[in-house]
Amino acid sequence: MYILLTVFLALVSANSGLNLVYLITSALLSFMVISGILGKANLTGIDVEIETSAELYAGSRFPLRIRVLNRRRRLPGFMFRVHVEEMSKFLPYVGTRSESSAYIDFIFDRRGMRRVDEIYLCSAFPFNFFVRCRRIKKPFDFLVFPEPKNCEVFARIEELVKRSGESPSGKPGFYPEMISIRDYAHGDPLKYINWKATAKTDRLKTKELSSAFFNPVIISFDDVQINNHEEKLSCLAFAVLRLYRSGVPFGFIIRDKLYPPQASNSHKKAVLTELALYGAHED
Amino acid sequence: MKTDFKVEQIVKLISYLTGLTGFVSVSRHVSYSYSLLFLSLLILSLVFEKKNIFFFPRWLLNAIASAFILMTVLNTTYANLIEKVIEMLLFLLAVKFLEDKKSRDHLQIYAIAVFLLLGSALLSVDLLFLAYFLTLIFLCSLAVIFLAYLSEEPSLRMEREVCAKVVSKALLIPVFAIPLTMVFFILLPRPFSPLLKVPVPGQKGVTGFSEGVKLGEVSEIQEDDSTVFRVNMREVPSSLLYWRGIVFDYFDGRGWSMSNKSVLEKMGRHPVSGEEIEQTVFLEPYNHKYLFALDIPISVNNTRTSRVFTSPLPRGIQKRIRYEAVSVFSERIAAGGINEDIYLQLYDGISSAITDLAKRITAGRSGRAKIDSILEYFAKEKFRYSMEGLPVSSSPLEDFLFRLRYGNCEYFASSTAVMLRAAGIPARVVGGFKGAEYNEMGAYYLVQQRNAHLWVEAYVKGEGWVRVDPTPSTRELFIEEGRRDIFFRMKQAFDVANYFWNGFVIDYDLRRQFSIFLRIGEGIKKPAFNLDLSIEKEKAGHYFIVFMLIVLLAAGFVMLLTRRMPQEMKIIGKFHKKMKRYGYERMPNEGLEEFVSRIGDEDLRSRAEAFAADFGMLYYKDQKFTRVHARRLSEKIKEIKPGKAKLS
Repeated sequence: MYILLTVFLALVSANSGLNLVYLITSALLSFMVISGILGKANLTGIDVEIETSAELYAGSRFPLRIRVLNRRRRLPGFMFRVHVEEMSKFLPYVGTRSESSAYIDFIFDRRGMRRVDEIYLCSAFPFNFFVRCRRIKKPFDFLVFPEPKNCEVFARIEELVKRSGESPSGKPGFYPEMISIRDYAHGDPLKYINWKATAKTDRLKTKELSSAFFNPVIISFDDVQINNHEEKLSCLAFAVLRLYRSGVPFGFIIRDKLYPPQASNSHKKAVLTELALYGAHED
Repeated sequence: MKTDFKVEQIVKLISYLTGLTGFVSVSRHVSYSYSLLFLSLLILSLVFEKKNIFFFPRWLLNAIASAFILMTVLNTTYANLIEKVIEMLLFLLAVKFLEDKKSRDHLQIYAIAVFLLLGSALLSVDLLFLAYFLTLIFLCSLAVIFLAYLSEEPSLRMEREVCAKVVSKALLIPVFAIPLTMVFFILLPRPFSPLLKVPVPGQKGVTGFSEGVKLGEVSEIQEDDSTVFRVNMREVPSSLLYWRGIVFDYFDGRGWSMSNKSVLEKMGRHPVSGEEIEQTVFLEPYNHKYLFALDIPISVNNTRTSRVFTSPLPRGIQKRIRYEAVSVFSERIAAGGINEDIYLQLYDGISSAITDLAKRITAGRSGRAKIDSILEYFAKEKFRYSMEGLPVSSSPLEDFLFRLRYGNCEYFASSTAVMLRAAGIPARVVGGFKGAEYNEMGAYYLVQQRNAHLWVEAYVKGEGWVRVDPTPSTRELFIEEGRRDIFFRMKQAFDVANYFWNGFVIDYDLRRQFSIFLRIGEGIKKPAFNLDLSIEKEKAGHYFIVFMLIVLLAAGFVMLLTRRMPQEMKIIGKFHKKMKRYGYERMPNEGLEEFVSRIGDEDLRSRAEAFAADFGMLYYKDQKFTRVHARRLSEKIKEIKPGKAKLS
């Protein structure tokens, strides 16, 4: 519309010779030029980072944090839209020498080390005449755990655990009583996210509620009889997660490698990483 | 809690302001009923906005708008085209406001506002356009930025602080766009002759001297303050300010006209001699074809003036024109021989009282003495100057000479010319202007309608045509008094702005474009190493404007830089400066606390430490720096003084 208006006025001014019409046309043209220059300037000196504090599971959505960093001294950043693969997020303003961030609901379809390198920083600033984009030439790698699937394996483990007995504990679970606030972990229902704490710390935080205590179990990867590897990894990931969340100390054996039983988060992560990268070196 | 605004509301507010500016720019040119209709619909739409109920469905509004356009088109003629288009645009604008506006509607509002401004440009070329133009530029750039935000995120809310930053940066865009606009304005190609003739109903031009003048007509002009022309030249004594336009030689008892017989006259070899003066005249459109220049003009745009020293164009002047004229200060024109019949003509039915009077008062005299006797008669008989109750009967001259004894230049000049003719002295009447206000700021004379004047030229054997001005002068007194008036000075300053506006913008054409390009071309070929500082007075104004523009831009840029310097940097800069005065300089990469700790003077150190602690609290803990903090820290810097031992 703007271009049409400018062309129309340019025609009117050239044919009528009226200087005031020339003046309006000149103003429209100069705004177009300024728009081009500012649009370009708006994208320089801006960096984009993506990160997440969440554990990532294939096929599950998680909040991916987009940080737009303005390294410029004088010109604030305006009207940014960051495209991360198919998703995008709008950040209206980034002050000079500061940053602004936003979350997008992101998803990885497959487990393993996943690389995100399709990041574009776009802006329609100042007048939405053109949308300029700049590719962020920086890859971001994410470790994606297998998609947890509830299958027979877990039912068997659960039975085993029940047989070995249970006792109440101060361990986290999903009972209504809140015992603490911790970092967000994959699978935490959204309703348990403590937004106040998230806002304060700038990291996603989840409320921890009370659960019960169980005796240890050991899972042997090779003994799980599922032919489809991906299916097997998914079932095991589910089991690992449920065991951890229920506070059951669990061990893990894979190809002569033993992870002694533990109920810690780092232990859970180590086992899940093993599952995520299973077969990665063979590729 | 932080205040935030809905971007949609901001866009709406700017849209209303933009629409209103568009309306105000054309409000002078539309009827009251349209203005009233527009404003009523605007108020109605504001009510809709407040209640967030848009009563009329879009299809209905579109149907009403279409019907209105159709009706307007049917009533449009070539002569009223622009007025009708403006009325149509105003209605469309009002209808747009009534709608539940989407991004597209806002854009349409801005486009209509620009079209209304365009309409105002076609109807009037005065300086007010610039005010509307600038307002619209600023509003539109703000509007489009917020609209861009809105299209990105329709429900976006913006914190007041962010909003203020966006606004402050957005307003800088037009500041940078204006110089660029000037460059485009100069560079955009101008047509040899416009293909499109836009009918301009508002630009009727001023009434003035046409092929003839009826007695009483000039007084109408004299009551008008509008500008007829401006003449760029040096200041000369006001007694020399006779601006010659047209020469009348035929009088029918009620008015003067041209017989066109004078073209056969022979001219003397050197008809005029004396000091030459060059003038650049900017003549406003006035519908008639005569060009004006100081008496006696010898050439206009390097072309010799006519045998009666006038410069008629083939057609009436419909747009402002600029021309160069050269005149000679001379009160007489030598003539090689004249056709006396033309200049001794007396009208049918002339009263014998007039001829008798002429003969009686000039009896026994000859040549110049006859002229003097008529002028003495007016003085002796106490004829006075008046512009009211002028004789406009079937015998106006008789009324003037024998009954009323007052009148304006038309009566004095006409009766003098007629009496001279009756006394056997060939005479003609010259139409033009007398006197003018000299504008020192712009180095030009401003000639207004009220300066319209008629005088006489009498032919004295052996001398030629001699200027005779029988009208008693009263006007100059008024002008002299006015010069002391502050409003007069303000008016003059405004006129200078208008003059440059006309000179730079309105009258810019292909010829000037070529001359600018040529000058630039010459400048590139022969760079001027020796700067000539002797600037001509008339060019001084141009240089002044350019200089002011550069100063303004520079000031804007400096403000921009200083504003962008974070407050904490200013504060720490102040602190460093103060410490330097006491002999302590902070090394690059030296921590603030480290720097403070090495200060020898105890008092000085403890005060500097107090400052450093406070500053560190704010700076390193990433707290927001506010004005209150800045003031507190500044006071702490002021308190930093060395101990008494050091002072003594």
